[in-house]
Amino acid sequence: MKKDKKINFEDSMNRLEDIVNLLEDQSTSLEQSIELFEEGMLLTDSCKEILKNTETRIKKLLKEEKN
Amino acid sequence: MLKEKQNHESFNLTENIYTVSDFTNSLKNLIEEKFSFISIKGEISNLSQPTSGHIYFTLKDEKAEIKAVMFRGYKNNLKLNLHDGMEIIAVGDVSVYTQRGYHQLIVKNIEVAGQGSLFIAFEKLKKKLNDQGLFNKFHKKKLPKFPLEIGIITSSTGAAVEDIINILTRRAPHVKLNLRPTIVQGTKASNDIIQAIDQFDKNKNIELIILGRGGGSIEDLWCFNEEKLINKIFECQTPIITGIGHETDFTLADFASDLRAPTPSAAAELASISLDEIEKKLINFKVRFSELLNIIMNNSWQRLDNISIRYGFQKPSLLIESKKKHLNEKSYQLKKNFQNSFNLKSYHVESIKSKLQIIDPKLILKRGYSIVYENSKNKIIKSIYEISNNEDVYVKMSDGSIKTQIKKIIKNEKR
Repeated sequence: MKKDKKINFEDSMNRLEDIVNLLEDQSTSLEQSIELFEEGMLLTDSCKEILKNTETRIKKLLKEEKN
Repeated sequence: MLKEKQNHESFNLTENIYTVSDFTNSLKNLIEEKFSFISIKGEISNLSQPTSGHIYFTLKDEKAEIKAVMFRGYKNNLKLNLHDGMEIIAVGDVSVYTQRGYHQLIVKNIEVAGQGSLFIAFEKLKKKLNDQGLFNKFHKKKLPKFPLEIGIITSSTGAAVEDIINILTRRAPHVKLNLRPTIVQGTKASNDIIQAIDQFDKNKNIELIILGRGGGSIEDLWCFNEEKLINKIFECQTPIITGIGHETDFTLADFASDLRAPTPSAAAELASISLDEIEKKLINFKVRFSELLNIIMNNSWQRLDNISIRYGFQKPSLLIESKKKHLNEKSYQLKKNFQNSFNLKSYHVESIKSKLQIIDPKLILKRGYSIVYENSKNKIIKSIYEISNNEDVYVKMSDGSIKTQIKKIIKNEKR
């Protein structure tokens, strides 16, 4: 995963799907598996972060609208 | 026939003297018989509409005149506002008003004179422009839903302009109105209206044009049937709503415009959605937006959750377990394969051993056989011809040997 690129939710989700498929595939080597697992955990965290930030923004927007 | 009678009467002048009443009644009968339900064209003058409800006027042309009356009962037929100087065709019966001694027209219906020719011209032009496709629905432009600036073309005086402005200001105070007053009647009207349309069409801010005029006779509205104006309305890039005359009036401008409103007021109402409606729509949008956002968020969370709970992420130890299991399986297989191979080889050795045992001479001796050697013990005697009587031999048995002497050689009998 390139760090200089801004994380995009859709791309991240697609990558996560790929990773979990690879992890569940028995033919993936142990070394590769642990690398994929690490990447998967980081991506999951960043996706959660994006969703939480979006929720906060929505709540804020809806609150502004009420006022 | 009348002439004949007059001649006949003049001959009998001294013999047959009419009273005024008799003569007038005779005249009345003659005239009423001859001139019933006729149409007379002329100009109205001396129009009088007293409280009795009857209408009196004089119908005249350059050289003659006739008195006319429309009794109250026929007024329902009247669809025109009569005025002095109006050219009409009066339909009715001629009668003689005996008390005053004059003939008059008892009018039953009135049409505007020239309507016939105008109507023919209207129909002719309508067909021509229709054939050219100017009224085709395909060419109608879509009206803007929320115009912010509207151009109004109508007379600066009269109810039409007031109605349009009042309605638009009340319904849609956010809309900017541009008024271009024009002549709306007579020969100069169409050119003035064409210029007005051009001005508004060039103004990029104006999203919609209202072309309006209050009610009037077919002549009054005639400028809205002129070909050059119809072409301009067709060419105009800005959508045009027409509201000309009353609901029953149709002009060619109405056919060519993008929307025909029955009246100027209706045109103003059709021109813009009211502010209330806009607000309702906006509130509706807000509700739908927040609902949609909720759905999108829920879907996104669900998608992420669905990936997170997959065992690939949830139980990484399982990944190693599977590797371990795989290793164990291989190790077990290895052991098993080695054992198999070892067993196979052992069996092979055993079988060779047993084969060897079968041919061991010692075992044969044990079963009761003996081996006979020469005296020197070097050579095994296999035939009776190799030895002779009294020769010493050794006989080997399983548990020892015997030294003995051949006493007699007996040859096997042949079968």
